[in-house]
Amino acid sequence: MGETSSSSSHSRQDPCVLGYGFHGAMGNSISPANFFDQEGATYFGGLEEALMHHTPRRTEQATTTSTAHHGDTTPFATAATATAATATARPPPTLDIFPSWPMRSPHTPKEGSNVTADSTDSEGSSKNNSDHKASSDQQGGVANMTSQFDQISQEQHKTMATSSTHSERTGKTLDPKTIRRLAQNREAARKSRLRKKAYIQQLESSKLKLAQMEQDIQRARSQGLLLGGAPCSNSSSGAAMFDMEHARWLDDHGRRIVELHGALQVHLPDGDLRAIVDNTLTHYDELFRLKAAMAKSDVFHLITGVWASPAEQCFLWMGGFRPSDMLKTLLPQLDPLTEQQVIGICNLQQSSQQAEEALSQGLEQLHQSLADTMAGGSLIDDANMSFMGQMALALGKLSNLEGFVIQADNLRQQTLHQMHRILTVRQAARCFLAIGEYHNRLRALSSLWASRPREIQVADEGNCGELRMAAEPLRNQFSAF
Amino acid sequence: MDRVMKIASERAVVVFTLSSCCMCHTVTRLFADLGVNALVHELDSDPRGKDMERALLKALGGGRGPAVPAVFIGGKLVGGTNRVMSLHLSGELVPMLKNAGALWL
Repeated sequence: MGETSSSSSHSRQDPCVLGYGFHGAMGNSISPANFFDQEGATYFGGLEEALMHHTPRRTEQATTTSTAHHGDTTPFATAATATAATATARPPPTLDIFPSWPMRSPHTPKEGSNVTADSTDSEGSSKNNSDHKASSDQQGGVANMTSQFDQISQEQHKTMATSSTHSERTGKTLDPKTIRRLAQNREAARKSRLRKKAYIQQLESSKLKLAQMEQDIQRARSQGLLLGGAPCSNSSSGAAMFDMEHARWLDDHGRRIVELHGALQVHLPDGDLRAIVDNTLTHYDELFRLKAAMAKSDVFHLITGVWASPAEQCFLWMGGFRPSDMLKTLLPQLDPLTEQQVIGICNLQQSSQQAEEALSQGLEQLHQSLADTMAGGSLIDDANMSFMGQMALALGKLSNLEGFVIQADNLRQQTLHQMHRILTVRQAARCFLAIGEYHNRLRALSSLWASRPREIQVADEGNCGELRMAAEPLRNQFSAF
Repeated sequence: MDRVMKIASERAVVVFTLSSCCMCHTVTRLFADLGVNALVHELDSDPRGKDMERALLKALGGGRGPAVPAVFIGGKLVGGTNRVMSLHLSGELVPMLKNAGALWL
């Protein structure tokens, strides 16, 4: 930033820093704001023109100017071939800020292939050049020049070549120094325009990136995976903590399932198997402890079930699985069972059903009571009058909700313990495997459902065999292309 | 507490409740489903309800847990919702009810 310290416009510059920590292609010497201040609205029209004219011409330029163009996005790139001894013959740029007399230059004009580049420059920055041409006073172009010292020092020699052709075209007699200066300005302006274009492109791409990230966050949030994911923001940290803990529990659980599976496969002796089975039961206890803590801090999070996969949410009963349903599923899986065991499990299922029914009834009463409280007073006329009173009442009633979720979890925990008591060690191992696999399938169903291709339904209704389903997604994925 | 015990022995199954407590409804509903004719004593309609509530809370182990529903079977304190549910799932509740004469079959 040092080279522009003398520029009065330096204070107006705002750093081109975007949220993701990358800078615009402006480097660090100029911001587009600079140009906006200078040129105003007309500049943009000129910009479009310049860019349109400019890009096709790039290929036909001579070596010196082409190398100059290559260095567009890196304005401070090393000088092109035409550096030569001319650089040393020049007076230092700082002294040329406000030249009231033409500059002395020992340069000879170069070949005319640079005319094209120059002409497009002048067309593009017509306002820019007219400023310079209009008055010998360099005020109009000063800010441009002063803010781009480095470019100028490296590009003077490049643009000097165009000076003679410029004077030819305009028909005015300008001495070499002025010509050179004008050429420098043009070149600097051109470079700035290209930098601005690159900056805008970067802005656009980062805007897209941002939109995409927001989308990802939204999706993750809907799955309750992110911080602040709960719709109720004041307990978001607790909810996020729970989601994390739950995810960890799931991972752990997966490992234990694998261990159980392995133990059954190798026909581990009952003693060792019992240890693993007991550990699994204890692990479930941990889950219920976790949920109980969560119920006290944010019962809504538990009961709405955003921490569970969508398919699990579909079957959610008071923040978890329904014990009697689980038992119904398990019974056929656990064959062979003794008659006593079957009776025991059936009794357990019936008891659980009765308890669940009672709990559901109690919750229904809570719902009704809450609804009455919410509708208390008038919802229309003088709604504000009754607002706080009803809210206070409702808050009191809501606190009952955590009791229900805790009781429901208690039912689940007791069911698992009772099964553990009724079954033999091997049967209990298979029981836990079955429960684990069932929930696993529900989670897998959620993922598959979420990633299914949408057009698939239109096709053959009667032909949804698995094989076909597997083939369709692939085909339909590419149909868009 | 005396009053509590007096009321608790009036019937085989006695449940102390509060009108604002929805869990009380759950427990009474469960007993009804089991065919038990439980005596439901609402503490807010009892002039000494506050004292009784305090006594019950202490009997249930103190803490911040709800004093109601408080279930007595055969005149003896069994516990709150949690206890009753656990007993039922373990299959112990029904024998207990039968023993107290609350159930026949």
